[in-house]
Amino acid sequence: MSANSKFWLALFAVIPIGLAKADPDPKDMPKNDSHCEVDSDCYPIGAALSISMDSAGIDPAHEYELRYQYRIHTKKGEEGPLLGTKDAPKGSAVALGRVQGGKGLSAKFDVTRGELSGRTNWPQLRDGESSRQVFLRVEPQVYDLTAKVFISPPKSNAVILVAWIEKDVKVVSLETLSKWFEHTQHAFMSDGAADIVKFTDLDAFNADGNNLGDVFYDLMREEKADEAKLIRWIEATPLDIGLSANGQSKSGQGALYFLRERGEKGSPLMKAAVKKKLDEMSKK
Amino acid sequence: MTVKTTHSVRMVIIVVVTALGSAARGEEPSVMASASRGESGGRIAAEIQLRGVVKNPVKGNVYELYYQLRVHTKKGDLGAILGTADSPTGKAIFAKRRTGEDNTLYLDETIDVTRGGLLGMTNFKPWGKISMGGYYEMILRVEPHIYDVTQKKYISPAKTSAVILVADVSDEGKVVRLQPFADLLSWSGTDGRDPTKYLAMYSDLDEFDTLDNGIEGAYASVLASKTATPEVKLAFLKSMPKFFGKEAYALQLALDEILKGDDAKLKAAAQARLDEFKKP
Repeated sequence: MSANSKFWLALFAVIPIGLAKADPDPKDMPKNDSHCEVDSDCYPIGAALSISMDSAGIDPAHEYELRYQYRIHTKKGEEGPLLGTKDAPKGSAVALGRVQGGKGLSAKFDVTRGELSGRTNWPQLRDGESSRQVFLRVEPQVYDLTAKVFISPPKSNAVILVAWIEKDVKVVSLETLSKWFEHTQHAFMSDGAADIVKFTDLDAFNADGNNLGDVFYDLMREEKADEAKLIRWIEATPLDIGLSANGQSKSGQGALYFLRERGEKGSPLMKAAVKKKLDEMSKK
Repeated sequence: MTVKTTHSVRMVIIVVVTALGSAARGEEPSVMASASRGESGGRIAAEIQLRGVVKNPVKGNVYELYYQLRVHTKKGDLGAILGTADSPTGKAIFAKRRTGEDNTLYLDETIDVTRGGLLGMTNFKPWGKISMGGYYEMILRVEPHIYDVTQKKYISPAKTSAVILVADVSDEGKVVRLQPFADLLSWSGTDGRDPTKYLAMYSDLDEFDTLDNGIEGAYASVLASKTATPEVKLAFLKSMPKFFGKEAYALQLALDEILKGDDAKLKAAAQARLDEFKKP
């Protein structure tokens, strides 16, 4: 091998190491878990939401800004694009208020279809489609104005809304995840199985903030549903059902009670499904 | 003008449009603008369908459909139009534009009126005197209008048939609740509350279509409700204007159900209403 060849070989061997980005150490990730929750579903126009700021990672000497952003859900584990505006096409956040460190901050706001129409980064309609269903994440963000860094993770725990969009980025309806899931599972023309697949593909949200406790409470008590459907519901039950996201709500406690009851009184298949779910919950 | 029933409203519109159209014979356009409520957006908004019809439009003229939010203060009064910082005396909001081509020009658009959209608007004025925890209840009329861009003038009347909304507004102009009046009326009768205030509000309204506002539906929900007391149902029955509900099937079904019950006073009132429907 010539000296020239050795040089290029050595260079190519070094470059990937030099450019490779190490995975972030989980302990370095921002810990602030500000809480977003649904106050009311106002289908088809939108929803009333609220955000309360978490105190984790707060420096009393710093000033913070509470914000929210809209992110398109693409696939579990992925970070989809943020919705943007003409001025900030790659993604924009809405500021809700500022506070000097230490003190909590909360704010209420509405998300409406009119406000979201025309924004950038909505997925395109596919060939032959006249409308498209999109899962939209409303993510709380906390920005440290003093240190100029975000103290919340990029894809924070979100309220998830279900939007239908038409051509020219017109949002024709907007619905909360809980209402959408409830409707799909009681639809006349469908068994809801396909929608359960969509539901279980979602991530980084808590059941309590999305009002899923009440929905699963009703599903676990459902008497007319067949076994296959009940098992699908058990498998789809969020692992944090019954856990309060902000230490106040009790949404989901009833769902957990009736889930356990299904595990005691159900068929062998159902008992097995409940046991598996409860095992997963205990590990979480 | 008193509160119009669907029957009378439609008759008036047909007569006026026909008369204007006949008189004009293609020389002057005749205009109809109306609004009807669509889906309810909980307590944060209302979906509204705006309709405009221009008969015999001038070919080539551009026509625009607008809407404005007028404060209702008292029957017969022309309340102020909500304004903005740029247009403090009243803001007309654009909805649709079309150019006159055929014999009849249709301008239809669905819009949302949201509490967020009302933030910072001017000219709010309470209906009545009651303040609830620092919030004032206000009646807002969503009125459609048609503007002839070429002639630079509005060609619809100043006060058109409107959708009626109710808002809770703070002293600082923050709207915390906004919902169609019919939703509020229905809720007041079925939620174990005293509906007197909302029935009084109803009788004070003017220039609106009851069917377009879903008022018959609200009455039907109260009369068919299992939670509404007989006293409340009787109050609703007594408050119905003449001809009201003749075209509302759900209301007639609710009245039929009352006739199957035991309450003599309610049955008599329901029967009287059904007899009214049979009159020409």
